[in-house]
Amino acid sequence: MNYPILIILAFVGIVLQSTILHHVQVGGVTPDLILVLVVFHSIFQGPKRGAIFGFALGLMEDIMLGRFIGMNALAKGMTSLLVGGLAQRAFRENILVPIFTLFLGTLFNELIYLMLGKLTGLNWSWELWLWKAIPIAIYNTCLVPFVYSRFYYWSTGERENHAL
Amino acid sequence: MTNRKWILTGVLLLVIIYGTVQVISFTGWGSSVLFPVSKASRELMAPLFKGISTVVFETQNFFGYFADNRKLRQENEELKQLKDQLEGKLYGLKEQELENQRLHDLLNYKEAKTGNYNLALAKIIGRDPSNWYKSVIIDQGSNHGFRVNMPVITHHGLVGTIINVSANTAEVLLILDGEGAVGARLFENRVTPGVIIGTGHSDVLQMVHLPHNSQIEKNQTVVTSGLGGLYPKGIRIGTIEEVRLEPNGLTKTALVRPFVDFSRLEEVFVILQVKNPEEDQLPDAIKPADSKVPLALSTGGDFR
Repeated sequence: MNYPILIILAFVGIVLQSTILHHVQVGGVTPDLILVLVVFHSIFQGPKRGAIFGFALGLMEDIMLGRFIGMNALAKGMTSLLVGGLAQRAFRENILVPIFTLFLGTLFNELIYLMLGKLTGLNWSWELWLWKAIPIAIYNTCLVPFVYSRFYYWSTGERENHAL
Repeated sequence: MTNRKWILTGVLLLVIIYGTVQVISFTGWGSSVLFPVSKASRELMAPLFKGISTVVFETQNFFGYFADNRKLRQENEELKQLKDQLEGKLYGLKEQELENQRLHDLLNYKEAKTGNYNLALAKIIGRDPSNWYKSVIIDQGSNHGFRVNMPVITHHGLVGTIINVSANTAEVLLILDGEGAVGARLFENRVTPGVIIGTGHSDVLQMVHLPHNSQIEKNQTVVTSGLGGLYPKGIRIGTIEEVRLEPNGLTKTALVRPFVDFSRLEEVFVILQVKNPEEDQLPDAIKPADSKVPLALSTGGDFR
């Protein structure tokens, strides 16, 4: 896997999330492109590499955000660990695999985020998790048909004309 | 993986989690100073963010102009329709308010005059189409007990008399018509009898055959005298506007502004029965109907 390109993609994702994506909010949320990238990476690279990559990208996001440094890192790292573990024995060519793992991964990521927030004294409620996590999970999952096939062919090196 | 490796991995994970949580707490809301690396990355990214935001903003503005224009046209159309609807409603409400006020006044009058008259309310449904007669059609007739020569009034004053009836309509000759003479007197000077006649061409009346020595002044109130038997006495008619001495020097003529605004007449009372004629009761202070026709012009006479 070409990590410099992945880092550039993550960087572009952060820039897009900070600028353009706010204009395409649905249900008050924007898609988490970094999480999508991290989950897809974990599907192909497994839990260990996935966790390290997730942690690294999360940390990069945190550093650019400048506050609560480590929250995204820990949440994305743990999510990658879970998703990587789940997808390890799954048939990655099946489109339902990224849909299911991304939906579940998003819910888990937001759950870890909420718990870390509560742990550090933020006044976040469980209700907030429902209002945030479910729309983000739906929004992220909607991106799968547009992104996953390209990611699959790019990461496996196969030709794109092979149907998933 | 051996047990030792599992333990090491677990410990490492716990250390990472613990350390990260500590860093999260340290860099939370309580910390007003950015990490140097965060500060540097933000400074580095700022021009990029600014550039993208400007492009997005300008693009939105460019496409937004067309979208806004279409939206504004549509909104304008909708607002115009809404305005028309609301104007219609407002007009209807004003109509109802005015009708309500009129009916309220009429009801009050009817209650106040219960001891004097047996009154029946009727609506005006038509006016004489010719220019020669001053009459109106009301929506009740012989089926409702209306008969020829019954006086017609409103709470403002005398309107006229019924001149013909059908089963469900009746025609009322207004006192404005030259044919509708009414025996009248001054309320303030009961010994001054006269006759009220319409000029036939304006909404003012003339009081004729007044003795030359009669004490008649502007703003005095004219009421029916009861002479002639057609109208019960004491019904208010109007106020004196101007007085003139006739060329023969024997009589005076006065112009009378009627209390009733005949141009806005919509409901009237028909006096079915006179129980007790009004006596010496000064009519309620109601201003005479406004007329835009100058009095001197309306008669062509020389009043002073």
